[in-house]
Amino acid sequence: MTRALSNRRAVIETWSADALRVTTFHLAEVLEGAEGAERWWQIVTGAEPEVTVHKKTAGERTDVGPFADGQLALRVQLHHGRVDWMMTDALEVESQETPPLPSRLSAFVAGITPWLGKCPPVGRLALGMVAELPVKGRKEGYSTLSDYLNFDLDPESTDFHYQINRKRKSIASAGIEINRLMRWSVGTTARQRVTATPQAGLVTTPVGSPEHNCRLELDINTVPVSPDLPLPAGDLTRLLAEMVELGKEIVREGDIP
Amino acid sequence: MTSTALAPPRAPADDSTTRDTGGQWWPPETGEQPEGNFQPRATPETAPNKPTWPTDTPAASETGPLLREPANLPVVSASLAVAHFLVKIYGLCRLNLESRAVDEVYNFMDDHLLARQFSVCDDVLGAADPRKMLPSLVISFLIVTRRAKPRLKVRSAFYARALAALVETEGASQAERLVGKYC
Repeated sequence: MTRALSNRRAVIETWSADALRVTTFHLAEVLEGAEGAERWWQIVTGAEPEVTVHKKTAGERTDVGPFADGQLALRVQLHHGRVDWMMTDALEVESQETPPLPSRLSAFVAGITPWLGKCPPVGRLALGMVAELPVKGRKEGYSTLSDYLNFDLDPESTDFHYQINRKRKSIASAGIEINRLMRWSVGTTARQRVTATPQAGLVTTPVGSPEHNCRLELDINTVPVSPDLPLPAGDLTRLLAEMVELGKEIVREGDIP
Repeated sequence: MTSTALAPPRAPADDSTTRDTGGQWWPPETGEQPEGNFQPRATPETAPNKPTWPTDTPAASETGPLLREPANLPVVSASLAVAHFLVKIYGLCRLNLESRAVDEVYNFMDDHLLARQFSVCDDVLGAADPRKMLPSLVISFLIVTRRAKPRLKVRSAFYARALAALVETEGASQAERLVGKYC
């Protein structure tokens, strides 16, 4: 049924957090001149990264290590003036349940927030999420998505993909607009086992049944004002908190203006 | 370190998967080495639903241009793939899943060598910490990269670190016996 106040949409805890990201954009000159970038990881995690890949000539540094109940990555691209903090499940060494979106999002944002107070001036701030809701199949997925969208999906159709941006004025920082870019789809995960034999070569066999998910990708970010005009430093924490709430609202309520 | 951990690394999975074609491990040089771009290309329902990062707001869309055009890059990068690969094999080593770890090394490195992505292999060797690996993994890295030695700028430095790490845990003569021939 098309999105309405009366729809029985899933509670937010039913959605899992497949991937989370906080991105900051800076003037490249500012980021290149920033001191202590190699300590940013410690500010957030309080530990050393498990792996660091440092490409000095490319001006790129990537740190990865465990954080909260998942895996955190920090990618700094000095020449492009960009910093990404990304959180996913711990790598597939041991199978595990992906935690509910709210708890992982809270842990992630709580970790990043202290860094926002110490990072170089930020020109643009973004929060990215990939959230998934398990469903029994494509048809149920389309029916479920219809409760989040302003139109009904034809259950016989396939390969649905819907993207829209709905801007809002920031409450946390006066004069700032926030893009709320959302992409809705239904995805399928199929596991396969590949066996190599001298006689038949590579043989692929399905393992278990395919899993279906409603999938929501969010990119919530500040609309750029001017390359030389950073966001008010004192507003960054509040802006990120506002983005978190905007993201949760979309997960709860669907595509609303 | 247990003695079983010192067993020489085995070839990946099955002989039929070994890609040693007698000296030609990657296609003949055809020009510029392709840079790794690991941006997943999953589409709804028709592709495996691997985690993908939301890409940037499209620079050309009505959401406005980014501060700088080059900033609109895929977030999932070669460096990130390298870091995740190393985290994964360290984890497998901690769990003593030696065979799986060796398979991962052969698969990842061989794929990138075959694709002529030597800079990615250099990133791995440059970032890899032999002290966090079982000796068989260290040997696997050295074996799989041996024929590409002339193309890999940091392999010799990795070898030196690997030897030093093995000397600490195994003693000088055992370390030399384990990796000396893969220099």
